[in-house]
Amino acid sequence: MKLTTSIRTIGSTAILLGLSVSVYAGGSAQHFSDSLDHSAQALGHVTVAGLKLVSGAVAIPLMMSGEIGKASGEIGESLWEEANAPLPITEEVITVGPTPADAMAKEEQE
Amino acid sequence: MITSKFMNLILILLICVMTSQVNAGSQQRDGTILPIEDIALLSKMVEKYAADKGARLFFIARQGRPTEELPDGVIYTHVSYAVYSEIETEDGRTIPGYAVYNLYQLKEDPSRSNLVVDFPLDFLSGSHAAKAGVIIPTRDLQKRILEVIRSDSYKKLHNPAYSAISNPYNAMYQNCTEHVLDVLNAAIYQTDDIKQLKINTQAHFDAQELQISPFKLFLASLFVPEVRTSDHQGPIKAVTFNAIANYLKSNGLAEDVINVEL
Repeated sequence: MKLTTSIRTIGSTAILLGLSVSVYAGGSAQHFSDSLDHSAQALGHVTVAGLKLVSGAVAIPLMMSGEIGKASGEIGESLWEEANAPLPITEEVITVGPTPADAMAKEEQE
Repeated sequence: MITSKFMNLILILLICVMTSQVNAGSQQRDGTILPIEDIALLSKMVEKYAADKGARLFFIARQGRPTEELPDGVIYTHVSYAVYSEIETEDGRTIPGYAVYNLYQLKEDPSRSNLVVDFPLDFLSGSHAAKAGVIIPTRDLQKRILEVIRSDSYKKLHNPAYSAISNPYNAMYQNCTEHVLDVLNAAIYQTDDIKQLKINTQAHFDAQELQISPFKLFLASLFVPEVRTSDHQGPIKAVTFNAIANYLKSNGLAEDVINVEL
């Protein structure tokens, strides 16, 4: 019985730690909620490598001209053809906000 | 009794060896594998490169596994669409940047997925190498893909049953790269009929064969929920960044294919 359990444990451990990573698995894992200190972000701007980190709340595709303040659909399609020029891009680094659970936990701490 | 102790010893050694392999060459900080400063700089480099090219939309890819653990010929493990957007910040400003349209595995059940919009920094935070793959499609194709992403077809083309090595020639399972391909083909063929899209995929798309030990694959399919083989017959073939790049280049639909490295 113990032997069977040990074999199963070894098999599972080997698979989970070794085999899974070598068959292309896990490439689609979501990292953002683990990777950044969102509670620090929420307290104010954070600078990383000289770049200001800000939380993005909503993103609306700009299909045509790239004019900020004009959401896609409000701009004529004719602009598409002439839109080969470089696009303006923010110098800030945008990240998603904290998970609802983290946001709630932070509010409870305050 | 002796046998049991022996097996436990093997177990401990196995854990040590496997753990060291998983962590080899990686530097963890604040949950990222690479230093967050590198990820921030890389994400901004990618955005600026695409913006300089005037790209409203491009394919973005990251290396989500250590190089030594990738199958031969595979460079990137996760591919998504980056869309030029006006982004409203939490402090109420509107700024121009790229949003990334992802298919991610669920944390609580890696055999399932959902669709998530985040940003290049978030996307690249799972990278094991300070580089990103970029494919800028032709102008007309960018427009068509954007139209699909903005339509109900984008969600309709999502199959939440996830397999890391899903077969792109049928709709049984789906991973991030297969969803990207399905959206791409929906844009090219102007249909979200998945049966028709799979027929066209079989006829025109060359999936990349993954060189994986059959023994490892067999064991993984038994124990790892996100590795499923029932949708394959014969060699394991999947959608990869390279396969998408080749598909677009061979059909004259790629303006630029590049690795952006820090």
